[in-house]
Amino acid sequence: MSFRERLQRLPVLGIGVSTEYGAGDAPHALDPLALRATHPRFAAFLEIGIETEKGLDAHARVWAADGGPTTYHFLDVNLDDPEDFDPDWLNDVRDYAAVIRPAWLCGDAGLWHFGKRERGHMLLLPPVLNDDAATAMADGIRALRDATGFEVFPENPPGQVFIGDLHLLEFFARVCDRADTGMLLDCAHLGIYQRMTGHTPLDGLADFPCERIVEMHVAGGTVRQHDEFEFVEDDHHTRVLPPTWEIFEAAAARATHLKAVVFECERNASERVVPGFERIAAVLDGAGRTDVAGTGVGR
Amino acid sequence: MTLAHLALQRVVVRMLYDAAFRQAVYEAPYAALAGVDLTPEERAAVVRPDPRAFATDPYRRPRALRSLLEEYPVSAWLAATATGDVRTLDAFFSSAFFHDCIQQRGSLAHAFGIYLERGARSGEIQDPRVSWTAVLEGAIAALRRRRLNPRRQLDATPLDAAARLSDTVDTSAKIELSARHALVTVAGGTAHLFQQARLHLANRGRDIVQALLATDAAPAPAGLAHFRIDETEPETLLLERLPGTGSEVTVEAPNPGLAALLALAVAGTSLQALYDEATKHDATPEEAPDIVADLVLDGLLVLSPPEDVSSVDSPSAAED
Repeated sequence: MSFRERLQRLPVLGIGVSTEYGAGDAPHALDPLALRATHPRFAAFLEIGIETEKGLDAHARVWAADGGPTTYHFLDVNLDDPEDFDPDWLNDVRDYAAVIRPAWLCGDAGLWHFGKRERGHMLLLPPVLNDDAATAMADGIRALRDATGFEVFPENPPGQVFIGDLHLLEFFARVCDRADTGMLLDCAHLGIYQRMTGHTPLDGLADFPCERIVEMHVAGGTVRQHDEFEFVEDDHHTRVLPPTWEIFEAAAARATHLKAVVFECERNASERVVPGFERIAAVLDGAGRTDVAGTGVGR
Repeated sequence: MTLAHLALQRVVVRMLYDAAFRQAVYEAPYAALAGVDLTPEERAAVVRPDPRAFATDPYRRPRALRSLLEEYPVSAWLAATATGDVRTLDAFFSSAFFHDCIQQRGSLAHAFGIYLERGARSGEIQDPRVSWTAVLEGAIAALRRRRLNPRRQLDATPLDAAARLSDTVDTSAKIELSARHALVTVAGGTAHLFQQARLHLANRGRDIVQALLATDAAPAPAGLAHFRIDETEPETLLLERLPGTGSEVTVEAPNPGLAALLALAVAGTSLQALYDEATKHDATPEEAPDIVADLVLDGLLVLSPPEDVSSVDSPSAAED
C-alpha cells in the first residue's frame, strides 16, 4: 500500500502538546491535562517523548489511560544505523506503544547516542546530509515501520554543525521518497539550519514535496553567543522566532496532508503558552486547515 | 548504499568533544584523520562549517563526565585524591580511549573503565588501587547494562526450577549462572576498599557525584588511605543486580567453595560437574545435590541457558 493510501487511515489529531519523561514534574511545567480542560483545542493530543530506558512517566500514563490521543516520539534510535534496531529495543517500543496507542511514531532523524544505546548520552546531532545517509535512513524508517506496524515520520533535528553536500530539505525529500513516508517538519529546527548555513528561512521549501508533511512542530528559541559566534538554542521557550513563524506559515499553506501540529512548550506555565497556540490556530485557519486548527472540518 | 556516513558522523562527535582534535582536523585533515576511512570529499566536508559551531555547548564534556562518575565513583574519587581534583578525569575525552570508543562504536562507560585501569597501571593516576576498583566498577557497569529477559521462566521462578532440579535424574542437565549475576576476579582487598569508599561517599550526601565534585571531597580519610590491595591474593566477587526497575548492583565475597561452583557455572556446566566440584570443597556426595538445588532456589543458578555472558574479569572483558 502506498503512502497516499496509508495516509487515509491516519486521523487528524489537531493541535497538541509534547512531553517527555519528567518534564511534567519540572517547576512551572505545562500540565497537559489541565490545558486540555481549559483549552481543549490546544491539547487535542499529547506527543510523548520516549526513551525506552526511562519509559513512561505518570503524566503520560494518566493521559493514555484517560483515552487521550497520542503520538510516540522516539528519543533513542539512530535511524540511519542498521545496528540500532536490536530486538530488545523493538520489543520495548512495541510494549510502550501498546500502552499509549499512538496514531504514529515520529522523532528526530539524527544521532541520539554514539555507540550502543546507553543512558546519559542524549546527544542529538543532525544526520550527515548526503545521499548514502538518506538511503540508510529510509531503510531504517522502513524497518521500524515493518517491525511496529506504525507509520514512522522522520523529523529534521536541530544542530549547530551540519555536514554534507545536500540542503536539509533535499535530504529529507529523498528520505521520504525512498521510505515512501511522511515527514514531521520542525519549523524551529529548519530555521536554525537555514541560519547556520547562510540561507534565508524559506530557501528550498518551494522544491520540497510539502504534501509529505503530516505533522509540524513550532517552538521558541533563544539567540545566544559563544566566542563571538551567534547561534540559536532550541530551548522550547514561548518566544517563537520570526523565521520559525515564516516557515510555519509557508509550509502550512502547502501541506495538504497535514494532520497535527505541536507547540513544543512543555516546560512553560499554561498562561504563557496560550498566545502561541492561538497564533498557530490562526495560521491554520488562514491556510484553510480548520480541521487541524480545531475550528471546523477543514478541506 | 554504504555506511560511510557513520564514520563521518563519528568524526563529528569526536570533534565536538575534543577541541585539540578539532583544531588538528582543521589544520591537517589527512594527518588527523589517518586511519578513518573517508573520501577526500568527506574530509573536506568536515572542515567546512565555522569551527566555532562545534564549541557552542561548553557543558558537553562536564555533562558526559558526570554520567561516567556515576558509574565509577570510587575509582574517580581515589584518582581525584591522587591528582587533587576529580575534574582532571575530563582528560578522558582527549584520550585515545575516548576516540577509539567513538570511532569503533564502543561503550563509553567501558572505555572510561579501561582509561582508569590503564592510567593507574601506567602511573599516570598515582594510586595503583584504581586499576582494581576500575575493574570492579566496570563489571558492575556491564551487569547494570545487561538485558534481562523477563520471559526467561526459570530465571524468574527459582522455586519451580528447584523443584524441577530435585526431580531431575539426568545429571548431564546444563546449569548456568543467572543473567542477574556475574563474577569478577580482582586483587585481594578490593571489595573491602570499595565498600568503605562507597560508605564514605554516601555519608557526604545523597548525590554521590555531587560529593565527588565538591571541592573538599577529594582528600581521603586517613583510614581509607591505609587500605591495601594484594595482587598476589586475588579474590572472586559475586555481583547481583537487584530485581526491579532500578539497576542497583550488590557486591559480596562468596566463600571459596561457592566461588568455585559459580565459576564453573559461568560458561555452563553439567549438574554432575557441579556435584563433583562441591565434593572438592568438603561436601559429601549426598550433600552436593542439595547444595546445588539451594543455589537454584536462591536464583544464582538456572537450568535454562542464559543468553548473556556472565563472567567479567576486567573492563577489557566487561563489554556487554
